[in-house]
Amino acid sequence: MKDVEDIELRRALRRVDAPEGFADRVLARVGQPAIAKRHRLRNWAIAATLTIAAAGGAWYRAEDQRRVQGEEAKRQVLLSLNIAGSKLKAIEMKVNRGRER
Amino acid sequence: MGTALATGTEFDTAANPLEPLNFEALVARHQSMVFSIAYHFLQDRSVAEELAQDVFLQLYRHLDGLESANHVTFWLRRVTAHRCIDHRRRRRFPLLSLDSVAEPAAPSSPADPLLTRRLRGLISELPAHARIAVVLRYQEDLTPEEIARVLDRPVATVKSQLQRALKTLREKVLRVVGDGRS
Repeated sequence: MKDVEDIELRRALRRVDAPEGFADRVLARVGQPAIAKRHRLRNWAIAATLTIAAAGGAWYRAEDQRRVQGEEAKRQVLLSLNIAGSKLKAIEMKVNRGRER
Repeated sequence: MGTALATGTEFDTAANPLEPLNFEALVARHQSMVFSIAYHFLQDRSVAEELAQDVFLQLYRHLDGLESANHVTFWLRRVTAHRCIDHRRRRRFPLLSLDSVAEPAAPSSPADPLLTRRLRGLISELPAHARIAVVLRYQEDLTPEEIARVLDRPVATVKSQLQRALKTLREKVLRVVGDGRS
């Protein structure tokens, strides 16, 4: 009787196969935190790139403005020097003419 | 080589215990055991799958603390058993699935599928601790001492639960068979 019981209980409680795709679903659930981490890293990388690009753009614009201002200043200095040069030349000519007389 | 690995039992065939435990391989190796314990306890495939998945997720988080294939097997049985009992505690009313619905009574024979299903139904009616002890005894072929270690309960308690559970099952089966014949 006990042997029959044993056999029947073992038969009723024999291992069954896990449902189809069980392992894949477990691995997918395990992989979710890693995917989320990858997404976070990607978002950080995008944010860092955008920040660097914005900072670089601002720096470039400031540099360009400084360069334009510098060129304008240089042009004005050269213009002043030209004006001063031509005035000196005119004075020199007047002085030379006075001497000749 | 460890003595446990030399026994050649089903669960000792994993490679050297010092080798790093590969999670994917562990899932493939133990999915049937974990799912079956949960299924035989809960009698509901979808709930059993969810519980079994949770067990493997917990295994993934605790993988570093496990030292060998035997340790993994023991750990999985323990966690699955405790989760089953916790699940039963949370749900006061037993689940009713197609698998647990009583079949019409029929005379028994050693290979009677109706009796097998009826027996599963009767097992699902046992109290939670007795039920998990019966599942571990007859599905996993554990001794009462091993069951006591898995469940963290005294051996004497497990033995008396098994005896009482078998007595209950025997009486119910005899009643069912008797009804079927009358």
